[in-house]
Amino acid sequence: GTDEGFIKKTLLIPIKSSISHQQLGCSIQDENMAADDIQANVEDETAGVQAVCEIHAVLRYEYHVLYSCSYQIPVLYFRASTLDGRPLSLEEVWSYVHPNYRQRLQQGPWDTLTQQEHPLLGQAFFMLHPCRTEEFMKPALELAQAENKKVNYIVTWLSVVGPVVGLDVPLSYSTETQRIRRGHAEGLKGAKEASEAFILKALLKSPQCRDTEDCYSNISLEVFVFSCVV
Amino acid sequence: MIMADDKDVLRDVWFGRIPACFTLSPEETTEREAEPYYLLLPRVSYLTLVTDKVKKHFLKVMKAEDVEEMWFEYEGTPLKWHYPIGVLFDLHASNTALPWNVTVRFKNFPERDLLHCTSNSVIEAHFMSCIKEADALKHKGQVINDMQKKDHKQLWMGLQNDKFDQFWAMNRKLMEYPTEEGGFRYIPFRIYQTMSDRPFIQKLFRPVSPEGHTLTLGDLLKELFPAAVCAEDEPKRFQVMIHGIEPLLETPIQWLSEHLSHPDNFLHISIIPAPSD
Repeated sequence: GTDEGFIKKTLLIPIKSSISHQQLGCSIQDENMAADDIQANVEDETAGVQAVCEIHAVLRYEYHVLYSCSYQIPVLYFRASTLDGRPLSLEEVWSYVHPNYRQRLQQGPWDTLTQQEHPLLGQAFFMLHPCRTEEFMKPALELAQAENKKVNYIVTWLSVVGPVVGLDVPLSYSTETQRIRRGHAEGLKGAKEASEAFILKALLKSPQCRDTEDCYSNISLEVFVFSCVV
Repeated sequence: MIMADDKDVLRDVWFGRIPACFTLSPEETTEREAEPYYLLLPRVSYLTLVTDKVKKHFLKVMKAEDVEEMWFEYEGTPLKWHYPIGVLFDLHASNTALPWNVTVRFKNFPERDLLHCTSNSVIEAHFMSCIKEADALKHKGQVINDMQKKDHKQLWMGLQNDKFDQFWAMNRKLMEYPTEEGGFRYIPFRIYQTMSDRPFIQKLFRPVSPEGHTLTLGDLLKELFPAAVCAEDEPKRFQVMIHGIEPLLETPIQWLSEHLSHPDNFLHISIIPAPSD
């Protein structure tokens, strides 16, 4: 059956330089990624699936994971804009977060999203307040360890805070790498899961937080979020 | 312990002022010509906190539909309201003639570069988050967390209302440290310069070396901005400015942190090219 209303798709594409195509239906340029960074296990699970949908809005989300030496934890900075470059306000960003996550935020310990200056770029970003990180990381880490899963701090942290700001990073993907070749949305149910794919090798290869000397090491993730009506 | 002389330094820092002249940008639409507005700006405060009068002055000659969020620029560069006024001046205009000529804008807010500042509570939130971050560095956050909400409020009200005694009654707690440590855990500081894309440099830096030596401003710079430290016979390439003065490089960084920090508890250091004459 088909989903009613809006389907949200999230793509994670690590970038060294900016993505050249920002339109739906174009393939993501591979040459931006260094060969050793991404050893993609490319499974084109969308094979044979027809994509027919009407695109309503395409937004460009940019997520940066930085390390705060003051608090000695990772901090999530992000900004969003329309494809023609108009920045989204915090209210608009909120309206694109799935209602379930909005609820979780209201209950959750991670209180505030505020506008902040990006420590390396000097530009306006939104930042997820880091002060309760220890509090919610502990159970997530313990759970992963109890299930005997290899734990990567950044991935675990991102999977907890990410959904709060519209970034889906299921823990189950942490030991695999998948990559979506096409940037368009699928309207059918099975393909929804398949298209929630992302590359984590880049994250896994990033320097371990606690070893870094630099106050702010930067791991950039560029994500396209788009909605379509089936 | 704070010595009597040192307390004078605290007052001098707090009451530092910069004479400024605010001019409406020719790009703005007015009903009649706008006169410039002169104001003494507190070095330790924030532009959006102290310019209500500037806004009122220019609104008199403008139509409501031509007015959006007010912002400032200097020689084409948008001024970041979340930096203390003194830092902005030292960084951009310290070697130019007074008054500081600031341009006022009401349209075309530079969304990419400037943070919005829609009310004083935004400034308060920013100010308090700086203080918390500074305490995280100095005391692992223990002092600020032990304070009550009303104590935090007192710090903010002291700044907002220009009340030195009210502010320092609370702030002195943030300037204490266990005697056996010899200083704070890490010094809260940021180094600014206009010649780089990076907005500032901030790293972990202990005020006392592992061997127990008191580290100086010179030691900090040697590690983080060696170009600013040159030998006696070499011509000076950069000026290292804090609150509009160039402290001796031999000054202990712990002392600087206790006495020349801004109310946000950070030591803001501006590195500018030395004047050529």
